[in-house]
Amino acid sequence: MRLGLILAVVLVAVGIRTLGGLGADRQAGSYVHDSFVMGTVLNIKVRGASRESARQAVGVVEAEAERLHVLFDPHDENSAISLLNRTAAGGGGTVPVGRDVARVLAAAIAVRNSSGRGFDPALGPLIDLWGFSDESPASEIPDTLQLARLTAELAAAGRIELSPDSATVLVPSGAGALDVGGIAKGYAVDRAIEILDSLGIENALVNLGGEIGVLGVGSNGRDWRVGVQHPRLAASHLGVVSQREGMFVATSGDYERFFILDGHRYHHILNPESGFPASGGAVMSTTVIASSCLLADAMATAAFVLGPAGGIRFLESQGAQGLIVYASDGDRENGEITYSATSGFLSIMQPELDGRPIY
Amino acid sequence: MARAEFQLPPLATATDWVMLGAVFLCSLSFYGFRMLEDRAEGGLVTVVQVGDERVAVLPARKDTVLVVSGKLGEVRIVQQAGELWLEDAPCRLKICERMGHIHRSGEVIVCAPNKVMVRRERVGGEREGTLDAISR
Amino acid sequence: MQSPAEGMAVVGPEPREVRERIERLSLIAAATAFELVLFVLDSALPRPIPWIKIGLANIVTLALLVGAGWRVAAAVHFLRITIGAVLRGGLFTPFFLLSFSGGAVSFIVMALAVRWAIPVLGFLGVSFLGALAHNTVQLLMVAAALSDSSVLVLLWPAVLLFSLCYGGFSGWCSFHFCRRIPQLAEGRLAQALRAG
Repeated sequence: MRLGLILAVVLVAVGIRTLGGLGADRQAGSYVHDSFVMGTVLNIKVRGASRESARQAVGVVEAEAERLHVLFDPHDENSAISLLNRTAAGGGGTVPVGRDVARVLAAAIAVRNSSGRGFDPALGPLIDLWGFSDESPASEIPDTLQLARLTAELAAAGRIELSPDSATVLVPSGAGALDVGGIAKGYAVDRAIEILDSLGIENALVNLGGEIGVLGVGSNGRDWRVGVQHPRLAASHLGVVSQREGMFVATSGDYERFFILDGHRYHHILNPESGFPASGGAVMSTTVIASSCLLADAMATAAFVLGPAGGIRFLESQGAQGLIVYASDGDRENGEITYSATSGFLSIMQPELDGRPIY
Repeated sequence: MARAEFQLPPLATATDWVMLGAVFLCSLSFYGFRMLEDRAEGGLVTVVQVGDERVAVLPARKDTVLVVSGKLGEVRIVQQAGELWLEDAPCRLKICERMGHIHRSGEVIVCAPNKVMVRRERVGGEREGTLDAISR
Repeated sequence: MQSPAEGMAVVGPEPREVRERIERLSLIAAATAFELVLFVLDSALPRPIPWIKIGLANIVTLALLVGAGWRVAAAVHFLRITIGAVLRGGLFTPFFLLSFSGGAVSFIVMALAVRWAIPVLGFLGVSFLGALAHNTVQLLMVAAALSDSSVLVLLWPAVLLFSLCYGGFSGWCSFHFCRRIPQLAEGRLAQALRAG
């Protein structure tokens, strides 16, 4: 009888342990939601709030992201951006804009001016020409004459400016069509964090296509742990940023949208000067930590275009922290991977270029 | 030398029933718990793993077909209307295809010779060292 | 002293051990053949989880363990595994190793249970332990092949449940099998072996 009893006790104990483990998961009080908005995945984690309030807050954030998507879609003729672009095509003018467009354009113009054209929000026609805005992936170099013409037009055109009170935008005639879809995602993260905060959510993480903002703390009261994608090893990261409230992390990489032709990688981050994918310094990815996701996003793109040295100087001058991963021998595909970083970034994260597995 | 009289052992003793009953309750409650968990909505994801590497994590609701190359060759992972299954496995026995369709958190399809594993997982129950997000 | 079995051609008086050896060999041969039939039948049945078999062949192994002693049972059990692999054309392949290790561990578990746990446990309990050992080992090997232990956690409860059903079923079959075969039911061989 004794052996059977021991066995029964052991089996019951195993069962209780298994159930206990599951229970711990549930008690953590985390609510996680994934949805598809703005052409990418919006992942929101909420901790320490009741399930119902978390669900409602996430619903508000999703609706806001959807609204912003429509507002900033250059291919939707009713969008605010389309209105600006029609004005540019039709001889220019002054267009009243709402708060969202004003905020995004203010950041875009600020980064454009401070980076010395490392970033330009009016690249829309070039991005369309390359085919990087469509769902179907681009696969060939566009007609070089057309490319040169558009690039020259862009350089010659007057620049879009925001009125001092941010209520109107001055659109010069022939200004390139705005395409701020990229940084609009950063702005959506900022808005999501603002909304969650105003709804009384204390701990949350918002991840929109790899652009990340947080509130409060993550699991077990630690800082949220955010990995930085390795630019060449899809299932690896370079290291972990302990992200605190007020820090926003954005990454731009040549691995997001690209095609490879004759061994050369053509990616979606275009150099406004040349109209071609930015290739100076063979940058593979840039990660920027800034005080808003909108700025982090625009500065990551600018730093990518400016290259390993210029990009870091730019980020330091803006008081942002950043990491630029590039090929030291200029070979973007198989070259030796190295990095440059702002001094503050390295105290946040030490990059491991061999990559660590993402789990 | 004294020989014990041989007796055919009984079909089942009281201990047998206690043991089997305990095991039955344990395993049933495990799955009962899983089902309760799945009632709650939230981040159910599909995790695709080849060897030691997680090659993809995607929301369970997304209809998609993934082609993954495992150790032996390519296998199609099909996700449709919340169901998940494998097709065109290169292995000889096609065990993974025969594992059928999975739905819930915790269910897995394993193609051992091909070293491909597809699993439904609930994100949010973090382990130590798990990342909360990837900036890309 | 026992009298020769009825119906057997008796060619003069034989020493007891010769008779027992003949009896043992014929039992091994017949039981192995029967196990092979069950094994083939088992392989043809559909399964909920691919590595988990019903383990029909274990019906005979358990009956032999109880009624004929561990030596006979071991001979039959491992002969069946080896011949079965030859029949399926997979001797010394990974599949053979997978099935062999599962078979070996389940045999050891059942043999120990028969020796030490009976009569605290009956046929059902021993058969369940054997099935559980077999299926757990299979699962362990799969987890090792994938170097991912999470499979273990996710599938083990299922393994428990199926081992319960299949182990219970083959335990029941084994009990009745044992009862119907006089050689096993009376435990003559087992006693002889234990004495020898």
